[in-house]
Amino acid sequence: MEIKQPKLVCLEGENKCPYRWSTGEMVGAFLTALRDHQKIMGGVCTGCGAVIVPPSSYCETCSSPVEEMREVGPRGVVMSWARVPEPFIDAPLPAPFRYVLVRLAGSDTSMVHVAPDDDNVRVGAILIPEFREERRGSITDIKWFVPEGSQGDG
Amino acid sequence: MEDVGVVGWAQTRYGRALVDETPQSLIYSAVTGALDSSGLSIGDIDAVIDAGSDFLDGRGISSCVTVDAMGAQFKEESKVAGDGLLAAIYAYMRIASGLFSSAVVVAYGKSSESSIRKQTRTMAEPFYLRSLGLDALSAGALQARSFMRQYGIGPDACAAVAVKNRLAGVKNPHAQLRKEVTLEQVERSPEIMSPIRKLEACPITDGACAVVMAEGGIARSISARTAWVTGIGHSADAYSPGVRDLHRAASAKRAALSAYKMAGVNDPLSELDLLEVSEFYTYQELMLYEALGLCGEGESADILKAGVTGPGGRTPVNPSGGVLCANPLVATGLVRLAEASAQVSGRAGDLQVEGARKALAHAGGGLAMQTAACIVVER
Repeated sequence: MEIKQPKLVCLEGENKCPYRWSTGEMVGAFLTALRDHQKIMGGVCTGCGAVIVPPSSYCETCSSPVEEMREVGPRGVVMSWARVPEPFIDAPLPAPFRYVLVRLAGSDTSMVHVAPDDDNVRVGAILIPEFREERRGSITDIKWFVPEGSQGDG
Repeated sequence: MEDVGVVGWAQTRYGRALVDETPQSLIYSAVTGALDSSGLSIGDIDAVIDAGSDFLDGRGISSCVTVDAMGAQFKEESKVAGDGLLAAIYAYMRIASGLFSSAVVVAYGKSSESSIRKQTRTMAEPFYLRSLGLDALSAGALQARSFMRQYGIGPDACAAVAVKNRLAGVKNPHAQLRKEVTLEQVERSPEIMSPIRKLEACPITDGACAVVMAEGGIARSISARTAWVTGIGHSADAYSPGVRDLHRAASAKRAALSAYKMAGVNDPLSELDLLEVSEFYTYQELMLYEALGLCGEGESADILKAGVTGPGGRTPVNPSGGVLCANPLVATGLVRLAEASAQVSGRAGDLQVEGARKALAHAGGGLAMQTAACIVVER
């Protein structure tokens, strides 16, 4: 029998599965400080001394343990940005908005976060975090970083 | 250590959504095509190494389902979670060890069946990045601006990569996009995530690729035109984009240095006849010129403009049109090996770089080129 082009060519489906991700101590301490104190904490590497924001329990640069925490920011400098023109599912903000790589005062690494679609969000600009009223222990407890006076150049 | 050669390869047709193909049917046609081109049959093969994405397939441990289509039943089968070029490195090691004499390497993907942006978001860990919705495109856009700012690279230089590669792709019978674009068209295409424009990003592609590798004795007995693997390297940078020097493709540099050292390549610009690299976005090809040793820091736009990496240039990059003309994730890097092998064995047809004897194939992976794999092949 010859096989003719079938009518059903695609089967619709969806994979959905709930998770309950353990934060571990370091990430948990960072998210708790955001939620309860509106403070941004970095981790201090016991090896190279780098202040890592947001922190992990080991240093991604020199592999040493990160044990101590230190408050950083709240101000930060824009290292790079990208403009999101269209909305997407699970987006942290309505479009348009910007992704930013922001280096907080006292930090040796940059943090990915979001910012308004404002031309003052430029490389070199100083941003400050705006916290949400209702916080749940998430990186999005910082709603976004907004420009503070000083402006960058590109 | 045994000599190892690439003795056969095949690519399936590529398309935005091949609704008449399943992962298994794509794998089957790539593997049978590669075996046909090698002159070996599946009974001659010791090992099968495959690369697929459980996320794209929407099922776990997907190689259990595809094992028969790969011809891997009752063979040593192993799957890598990464690009197919990494699978080729594993196959190389198995044969070089002397424990195996031949291997099929196959990689496939049907990106059309799900949401590719949503899938690349699953690469982000849940606490710091995924809650922000970061995906391959937005991480790439942050890297693009870091790189362009660091070296004063203009958007026109990035756009020129698309013009070069799309023109090359016109001649590639395997390419999904076979229509050239002008600089103006690229620069006027919408910003999908600034600074990246629509025509600067790879397409969404369904398809598969397979290569056959064999130890020296077998390779010499079946063909006089083997692409010998003379260098391999792979490397992974730190995970967090904010920890890395985002303007440098450091893992690609490490991977290439390993492959060059092994192959005895001291000056890639003069010793390689061509490179096939994985540029998911235009800026990545420029970053890779530096990382793969074709130019000094900040000189990538200059060598592109001078035509060094263009058709007929000193060291053409992506004579196939590259990933901007077809991106069959996770076969993308393995396709680079198939193209490079075709070139150095003089079997690249309309794409042939005259007199090509030595080439590099590169694969990138992770958010913003976190990982890289490189293979040097030569006649």
